[in-house]
Amino acid sequence: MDTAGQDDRYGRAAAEFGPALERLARAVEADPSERRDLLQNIHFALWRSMAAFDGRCSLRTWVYRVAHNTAASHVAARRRAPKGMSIEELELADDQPGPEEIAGDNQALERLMALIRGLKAPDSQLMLLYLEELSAGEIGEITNMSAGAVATKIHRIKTFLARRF
Amino acid sequence: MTNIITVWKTQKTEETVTLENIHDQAARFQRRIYWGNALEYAVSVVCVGIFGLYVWVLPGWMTKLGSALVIVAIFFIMWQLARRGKAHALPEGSALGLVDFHRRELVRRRDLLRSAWSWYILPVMPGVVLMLLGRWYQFHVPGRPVNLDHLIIALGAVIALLIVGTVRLVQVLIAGQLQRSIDELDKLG
Repeated sequence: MDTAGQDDRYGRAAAEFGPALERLARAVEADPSERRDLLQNIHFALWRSMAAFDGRCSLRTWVYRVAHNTAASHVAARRRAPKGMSIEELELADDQPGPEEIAGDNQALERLMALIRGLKAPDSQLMLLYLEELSAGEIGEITNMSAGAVATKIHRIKTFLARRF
Repeated sequence: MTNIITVWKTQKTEETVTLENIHDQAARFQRRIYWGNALEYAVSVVCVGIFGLYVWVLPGWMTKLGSALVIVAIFFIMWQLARRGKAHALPEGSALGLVDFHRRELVRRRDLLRSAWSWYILPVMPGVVLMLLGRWYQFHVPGRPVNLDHLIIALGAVIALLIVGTVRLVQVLIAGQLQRSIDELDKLG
């Protein structure tokens, strides 16, 4: 594919999924400067990937895969990255206040971001895909997890979020 | 109860990444690869230069041969680094399924830790051992009593062995942790 075609495909993907990519970068990286770099890297990875996009999966699946894999590499490369928990471990260790303690949307958002950063992959990725309102089928395709495993995880995520927010 | 999905999706987004930014980053990416390779070769050339000088100036055939073996080991390691780097290069954009990508990264790191012993540490050992033997039998620091010189060589060898042993132990422990994470992921497939 020539660069113009690559630019064109990237442009369409960025226009459609740009806000979701920014939300992903915000959830993964707390530091504003690092976050900007991560977002730039996600867009760059997406642009590079467009040279290989062959339409065998939907553009949505492709974009989320590239973006989440780039974010996962960022987390893995981060120095002194805390060891995350699975959603099951988080449920057991949950000692945070309930929804009555949340003062407003901003506080809820901050608490959610901290929660996602405390999860390990692929649970953090599942939570983010769920928050983007992707169906279980789409999440299964993006993650390559079995339908049963996705259903179990989503159920736990829903229960956990309902209790906390 | 807060509708957390609405809160999530309606948060204000403000960052913009332009196509010009992307093209600039592509150019920087190419430059970084070029300078990264150049640095790797420069370090190897310096190491080969130092051990080449040892072959030339140090007395005793053991020390000379040991230095030459270290040079051969450096070339072997360089070849291994290039080979393994290519073998594990991910496809453009890494559009693998998230679990596959995560598993592949864990396997790559586990295998690197498990095999580093055989291609990163072991090749250097014959040369280093021969150099130490050369120091022990054929070459002593002028003006220093032989017994003291032997003690220093032995101490150096023990410290080196302890460092290598500790590094190996840490590698084995981390590889074990990675294997447990891989096993957990396999249950999701």
